[in-house]
Amino acid sequence: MIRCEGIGWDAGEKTVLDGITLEIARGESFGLIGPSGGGKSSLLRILDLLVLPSRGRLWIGESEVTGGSRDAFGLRRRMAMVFQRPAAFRMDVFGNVAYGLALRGVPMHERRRRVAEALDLVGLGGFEDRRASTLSGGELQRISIARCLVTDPEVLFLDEPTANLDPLSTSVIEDVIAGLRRDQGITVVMATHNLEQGQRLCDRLAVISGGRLVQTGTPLEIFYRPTSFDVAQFVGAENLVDGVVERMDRGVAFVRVEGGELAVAVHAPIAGQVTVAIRPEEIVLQRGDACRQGTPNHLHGSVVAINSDGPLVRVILDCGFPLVALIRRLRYLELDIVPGTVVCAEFDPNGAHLIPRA
Amino acid sequence: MSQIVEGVVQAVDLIVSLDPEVVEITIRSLYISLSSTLISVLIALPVAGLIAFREFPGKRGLMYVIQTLYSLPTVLIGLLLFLLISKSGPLGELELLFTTTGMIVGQSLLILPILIGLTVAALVAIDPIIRDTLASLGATEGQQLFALLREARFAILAAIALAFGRAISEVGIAIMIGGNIRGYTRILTTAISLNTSMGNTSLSIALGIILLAIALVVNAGVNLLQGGGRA
Repeated sequence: MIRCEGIGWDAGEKTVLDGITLEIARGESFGLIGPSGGGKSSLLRILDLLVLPSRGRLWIGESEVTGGSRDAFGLRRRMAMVFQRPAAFRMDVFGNVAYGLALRGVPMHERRRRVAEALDLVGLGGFEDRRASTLSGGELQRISIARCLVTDPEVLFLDEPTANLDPLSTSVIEDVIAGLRRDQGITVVMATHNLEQGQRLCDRLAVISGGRLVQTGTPLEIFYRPTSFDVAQFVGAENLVDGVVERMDRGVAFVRVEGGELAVAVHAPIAGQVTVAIRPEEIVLQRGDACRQGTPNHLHGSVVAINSDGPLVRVILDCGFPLVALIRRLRYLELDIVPGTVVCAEFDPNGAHLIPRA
Repeated sequence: MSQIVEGVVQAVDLIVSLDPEVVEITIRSLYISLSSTLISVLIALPVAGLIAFREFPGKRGLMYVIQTLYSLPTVLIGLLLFLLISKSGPLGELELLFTTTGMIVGQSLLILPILIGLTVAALVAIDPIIRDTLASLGATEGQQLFALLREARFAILAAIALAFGRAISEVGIAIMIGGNIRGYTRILTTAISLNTSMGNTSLSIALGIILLAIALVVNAGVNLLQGGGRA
């Protein structure tokens, strides 16, 4: 449905995006994740043809976008975009939602029906006569989504659609997006800095950081097999330990790190300098006396700090390198640890991942 | 003081009795100023749209010039226009001198900068997301401009009221281009000026009251529109 090759965009002197190459299939739900200011919004604006890229080639459906505004205008009518900050026209809700239909010359009775449907979908049935200025931010954002959906777009772009919204609106919006993917076959492209949201709603994710596309893959791949230090850090693999591969044995790489040896499952042979990425929730803590010193993935360390993280507890250890473990509160109470306690940190070889280091 | 009181009494009488000359002058004033306002609005809105949403070299300078022209003296426009359209001037063939059409042209020139400048200000004050939303929903450039003007309608209405007020209250252009010809180009302001110099203050006061009443009606109308369109 959407394909771009080497897309780049400069704002004045500053390169905002560079070398973006990706392909989004029809009906796919595609997420752009990455830190704020990384270029996600700019990429969405280019894909929705609101701005022309400075470099590269872009195809929407079968047509290549060449830059003629007349051409772009026809393509733009097949797509719609929800912006991070909802902006309503100074009209009633009906006028807002029906705007795209009015542009397309849809007859009035048809407009009434489709607007009512779209409002029902976003949980705001019967809001037609309300003035947009009387709505909350969450309601406005739902109106924005309804305003896009009435036009029956083939592609829906969403730029951080739930940032700063109330929980009810967030869950309604997430349900609507999930429903689009399930029932209507609309291609959805959304930018979010909320990893869990990206994981819940998207078939595939692309990590955009510093204006570049650093990794594309399923949520599982992105979360558990980050290919770069930046991605690993961004997706919450807080433990990034540098080491050297010493040997390979039946799909497991043994990595020498300061303070011990780590065994990590790999899919392809690897050698040399690597970074071991371990998600904190993959780490299991035992009392220090349970530690079988010298066994791979058994790390002896002392507790440096303990932070509460909702139902979980974040324990920071010193194992020769800092190691963060995220454990259940009950397990924490069982372990009876305080700063200074010596514990044993373990993890499964499948719970870690190697990133080659240049 | 008694002169003023006497004048007001006579003025009320002239107005209530619908004195033919007063009525005629009032209608001419309204015709000229409404025409110039309408013409200027039709020119100013698209021009303001271009200035607000197109990037071009010298844009900032152009805005400075437009804002400076807010305080263009009416007599200066009168003079320049006179030189252009007088018999020997480059546009003399149009025979606009001492005509209401000439006065409409002059008043339009007077209020165009105000309308353009204030409309540009109103348009650039609109949240840029609104414009992106319009484009994203498939609006053509013309449809976008129309929708944005509608978004800025309150500020633009205020600008139009201001421009109309400036047009109907000016004297310089009306005297120099119109010539204050009785029954032909005489309007409220020039009639006030003439009658005052002839010692006919009650008529002047009557015309002044009418002028203010028009301003009152225009502003009330704008307030009504703005209040009715609360959004």
